[in-house]
Amino acid sequence: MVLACSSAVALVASLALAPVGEAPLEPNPDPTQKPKPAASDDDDEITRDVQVRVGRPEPSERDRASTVVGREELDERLPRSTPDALRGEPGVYIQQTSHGQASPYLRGLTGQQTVMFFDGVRLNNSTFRQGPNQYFFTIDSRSVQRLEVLRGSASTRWGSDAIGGALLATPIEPDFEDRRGVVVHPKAILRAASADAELGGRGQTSVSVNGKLGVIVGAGYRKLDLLRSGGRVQQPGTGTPQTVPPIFGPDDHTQLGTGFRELTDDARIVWRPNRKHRVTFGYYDYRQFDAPRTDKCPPQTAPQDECLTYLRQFRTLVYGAYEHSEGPAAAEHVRLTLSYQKQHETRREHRGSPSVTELTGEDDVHAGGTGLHAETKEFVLAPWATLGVRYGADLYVDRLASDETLTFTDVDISVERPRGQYLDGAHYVTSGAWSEVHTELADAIRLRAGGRFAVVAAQADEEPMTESKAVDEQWVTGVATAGVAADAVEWLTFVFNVDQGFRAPNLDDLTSRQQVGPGYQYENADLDPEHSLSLETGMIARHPWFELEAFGFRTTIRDLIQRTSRDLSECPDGDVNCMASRNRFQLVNLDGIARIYGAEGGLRIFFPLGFRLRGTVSYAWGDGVNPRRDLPMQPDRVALSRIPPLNGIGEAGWRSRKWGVYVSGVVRWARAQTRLAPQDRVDARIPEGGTPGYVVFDMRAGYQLDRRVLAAIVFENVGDTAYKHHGSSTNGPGRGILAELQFGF
Amino acid sequence: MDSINRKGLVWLAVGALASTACGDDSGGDDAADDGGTADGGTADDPTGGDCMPSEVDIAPLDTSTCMPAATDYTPTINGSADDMWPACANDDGVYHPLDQPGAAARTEAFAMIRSILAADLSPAGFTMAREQYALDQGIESRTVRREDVRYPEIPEADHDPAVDADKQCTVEANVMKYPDRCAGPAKIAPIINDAFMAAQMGEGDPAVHAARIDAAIAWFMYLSVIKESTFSCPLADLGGDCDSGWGYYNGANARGAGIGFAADVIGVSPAADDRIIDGLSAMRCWRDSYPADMDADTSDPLYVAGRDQLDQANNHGAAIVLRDRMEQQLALCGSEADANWAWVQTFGQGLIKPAQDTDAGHASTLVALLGNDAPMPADIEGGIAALDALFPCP
Repeated sequence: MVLACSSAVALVASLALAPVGEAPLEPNPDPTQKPKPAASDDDDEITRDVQVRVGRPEPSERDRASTVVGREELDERLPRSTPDALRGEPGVYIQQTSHGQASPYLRGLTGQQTVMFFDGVRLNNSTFRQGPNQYFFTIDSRSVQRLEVLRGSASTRWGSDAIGGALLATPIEPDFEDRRGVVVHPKAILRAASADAELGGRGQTSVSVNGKLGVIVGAGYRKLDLLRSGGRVQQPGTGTPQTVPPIFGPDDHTQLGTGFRELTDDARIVWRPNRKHRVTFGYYDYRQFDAPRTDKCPPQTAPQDECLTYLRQFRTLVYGAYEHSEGPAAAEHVRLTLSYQKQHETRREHRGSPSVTELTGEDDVHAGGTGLHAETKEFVLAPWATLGVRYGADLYVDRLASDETLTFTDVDISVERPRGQYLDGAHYVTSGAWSEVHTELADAIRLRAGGRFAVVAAQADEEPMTESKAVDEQWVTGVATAGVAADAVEWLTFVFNVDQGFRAPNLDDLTSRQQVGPGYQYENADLDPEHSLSLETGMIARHPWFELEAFGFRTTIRDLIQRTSRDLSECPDGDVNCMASRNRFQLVNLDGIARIYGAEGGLRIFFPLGFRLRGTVSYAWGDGVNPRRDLPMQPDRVALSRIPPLNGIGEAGWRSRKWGVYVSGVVRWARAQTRLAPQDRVDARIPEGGTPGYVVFDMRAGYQLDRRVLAAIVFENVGDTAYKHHGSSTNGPGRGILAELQFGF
Repeated sequence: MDSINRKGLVWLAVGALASTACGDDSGGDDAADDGGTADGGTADDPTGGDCMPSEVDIAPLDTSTCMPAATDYTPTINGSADDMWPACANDDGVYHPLDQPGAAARTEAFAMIRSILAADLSPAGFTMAREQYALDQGIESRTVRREDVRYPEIPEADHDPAVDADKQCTVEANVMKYPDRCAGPAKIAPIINDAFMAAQMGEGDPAVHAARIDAAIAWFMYLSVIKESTFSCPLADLGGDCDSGWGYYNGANARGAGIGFAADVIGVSPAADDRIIDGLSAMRCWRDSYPADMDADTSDPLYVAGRDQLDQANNHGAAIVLRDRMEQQLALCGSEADANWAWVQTFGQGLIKPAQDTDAGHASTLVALLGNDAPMPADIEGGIAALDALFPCP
C-alpha cells in the first residue's frame, strides 16, 4: 500500500514537472495564472484502481475555500443545467424560480451578489436583479469542461458583485495532437429524461491541425416538457399541502408552468503557434424558448391560464483572447481578452381568460468588455522565500434597450408603454485595476495581499410620465484581500483569509420596475454600493486517500441592498402598477451591518479498488437591520431573505477505470428552513411557515469505453419524494431516469 | 344639493359620453353616426323609438323613516358612543386603514376611464381607456377572478384540487358552470371586452359601448366592496382587504369625496355614502379587534352586524344609483337613451341576487325590466317601485 501511495505521489510529481506543451493542458479557470499540467484521464495501470484522486481537478486558488466540478463529474451527474451541476457542493445551494431558470446561492447570497465568469470573461451585466436570476443557466453545461466555485468575497480579483463568491466556468478545449496532420474527432451526445420528458442532444467536432490549431464546434438542442415532481410539499406552518406554486396537473404530481426548449451552438478556435503564444476565439450562443415562469403561471390568485413566459432568453458571447507565456519577469504570463456579449429577453404575460390582453417586454443588454491579466515570474528572494505578483485591469460597458407593449389580441392593437422594465438607453460601466502579491516561505507558509481600485458609473435619462428619475452616478471604491496559509504537513493546510467585496448598484437596482416573487418592486436611483468583509478560516487536506475541506466564515455587509416594504403613498406618481399591487417593495441600503455566518465542508475518501465516499454539508445564518424597525411591533433585526437551510449530500460509489464502469448512490438532504425574512412570508414560492426539509436518494451508473462511448444513467429521486429547494417555485423532480449516450472517435 | 350632484354625475358619466353620438357629427366619427342610426335615432333625431314621454313624474325615494339598526356602527352619531360597538379608531368618523389599499388605484383607473371616454369616444379613445383597464394589477386583473360572494360557494365536489378553495373561480370549468358565483369572469369581463372590442373596431354606437363599460366596472366595484370587506378581510394574510373594500368603494377617499362607484352614490345621496362608509368602518373596527396575522372569527356578532350593515348600505347605494338612471331614461332620446338603458341593464344585474333574497316578487319585476330592451314608461315606473320596496333604506 505504501508503494502504491508513493507511486501515486510520484505520478503527481512527474506530471507537475512535465514540460508545458507535452502534457495535455487542463483548462484554466483563471487564465491569469500559468497553465497547469493536468492529471491525465488515462492514468497508468497502477493508479487506476487505487488512486483515483490523481484525476481530480485542482482549484485555481489553492488556499481558498473552493471546489471544482470536472467533466467527469458532469458526465456522471447528468445535470439538467449548469447550476444543477453544482448541487451539493459545499456552500452552494440551488434555487429554481422555474424549470428553465436556476440560481446558485454561495454562502447565502445569489444573483447580483455573486459574480460569474466564462473563460475569464465577466458574464454579470447591469440587469442582474436582486435575488435569484437565470443567467448561469444560460451556460450550456455540455460545453463546459469544469466549473469552479470560489466561496466568499473576492472582489479584488473578480471585481464588482463578488460578495458571496465567484462562479467560474471553463469551456471544453479542442484536442491538440502534436506531430499529426489533420485529426478530426466527431462526437454525438443523446440525452433523455423521464421526469420532464427531456429529449435532446449535441453534436460536436474537434479538429486538430498539426498540433497547433485546434477547432471545436458544437450545436445542441433539447426540449423539455412538464416536470413531474414527487407531489406537493407539506407546509411547516400548517401541516397542510402547499397549493401554489406550482400549479399541479390532474395527477397532482405534474407541474404546470414548466418545460422549455433550448438551442445552443458554439465554436472555439485555438491557435498555438508555439509554446509562448496562444490565441483563442470563442463564440457561445444560448437560446432558450418558451420558458414559463412557474410562480407566474398562473400568479397565485389569477385565472389558471394566465402565464408569464420567457419567450426568448438568449445570450451570445463572442470574444478573443491572446496569451503570452514565458515573457519578461514582470509579465511572464499575460492574457488579454476582448469580448462582446448580448443578452436578450422577450417576456410575454398572457392574462387569464377571459382577458385578451398581453403584455410583452423586450430587453437587450449589449456589453463590451476587455480585460488584461498578468503574472510576474516567481522571484526567489532567498532560498526559503519566493515572491510573485498578479495584476490586471478590466473594463466592461453596457448599453441597455428596454421597452414594453400592451396588446389587445381581439382587435390586434398594441400600445407602447411609457417605459420598459428598465429605462431605455441606459449605460453602465464597471472597471478596475488590481494587484495581488503572494509569497511562499520555507515551502510551508504562504502569504498573499492585494487590492483593487474600482470605478463604476451608471447613466439613464428620466422618464417623466412615470416619474422615473434620471440616473447619473459614479462610484469609486477600493477593496483589499489578504490571506495566510500554513502547511502543517505536506497534505494538510490551514488557511485564514480576509477578503473584501463590493457591489455597485446596477441598472436593475437603479431603474427597474417589475413584479418580483413577493410583489411589485420599484427602483431607487439613490442607492450606494454595498461592501462586504469576508473572514474565513479552515483547513484543506489533499491526501492521496482523502480530500477534506472545512471552513467557517463570517461575512458582513455594509449598506446591503435589500427590498423593503413600501406604503402606497410612497409609490412613484404615475406608477399605477405600484399603486395597484398588494405588496410593494423598494430597494434600499440597509442601515448598519448585515451578517452571514456559516460553515461548510466536504470530505472525499478514496478506498482501494476504486471505492469512494463523499459527503458535504453547508450551513448559513444571516440577518440584517430591519428597515421598518421604527414601526410598532417591529424587531430591530430580521432574517435575510432566502438563506438556504442546513443541507448536504452523502455519496458512496465505485469506479473501475480498468473496466470503465462506475456506480454510486447519492443522498441529498436539507433541513427545513423556517427562519424567514418579512418578504419571504409574502412570497408565494415559500410555503407557509417555511420550506420543509427533505431526503432524496439517487443512483448513478455508467460505462465508458475510452473516448468512444459513454453511457450514463441516473435513477433520480428513487423514493419519489416530494421536495422543494428553499425559495424555488418548482418542486424537485420526482422518480425518474436521466440517461445520456455519447459516442465518437 | 342632491339635484345638483345628480345632474353633475349624470352628465359626466353618461350625458357627456353620449354627446358625440348625439350631436357631434363633425368629427368624422362614422361609427358613432352609424351606430346611432342603427339603434333608432340620435339627439338630432328625437323621433327615435327609444324616446320616452317626459310627463311621467317619479316621486323621490323617501328615506325619512329610515333608522339605524340597533346593531349598527354609527361613528357619525355622537362618536359611536351610543351604539353597541367597542371603542375604535374609526369612532371619529374618519376611516383609518390598516394600510393604504392598492384597490384605490383601480378605482382611480376607473375614474380615468370615465374621464377619457367623456372626452373621446373615438376608437383611439377607447384604446386609451382600455389601457387603463388592462394595467398590470389593474381592474382587469381583478375582474377576471371576481366572485359574487352572495351566491352560494362552488360545491367542494367541483373544486379543482390544485387550486385553493377560495380561488375556484380562476378555473374555467367553474366559471362556465357557476356563472353567478363567478360573476367577474363569466359576466362582467365579457361585457367589458365585447364593448371595448366593438368600440375599438368602430362598430356600433360608441356611447352605448362606453355606457356598458362604465356600468360593468361600476358593477365590479359594487361587488368588490362586499367581497373584500366580508369575504377576504377575515383571513389572516388578507386583513388589509377590509381597506380594499374602502378602496374599491371610493378610491380610499374621505366621506363625500369619493370617486368611482362612490361618486355615483354621492351624486344621488350623500347620506347613502355616509352609511356605506359607516359599514366599511364597522368591518375595519371588527377586524382590528383581532391580530392582523390571525384569522378573525366570523361567528363574532360584531362581524355579522358589520356585514349586514355594510351589505344593506351597499345595496341601497347601488339601488339608488340604478333608480336614478331609470328615472333619467324617461327624459332621454336616441343614443343617449340607448346608452343610459345599456347602463341600467348592465349594472342592474348586480342587484338581482340581493333582490331575490329580499322579495321574489319585486325581484322578478326588476329582472323583467332589466331584460326589456325597449321598456315603456310604465315598465320603468314599476321597476323603480320595485327597487324602492326592495332597498328602501341605507
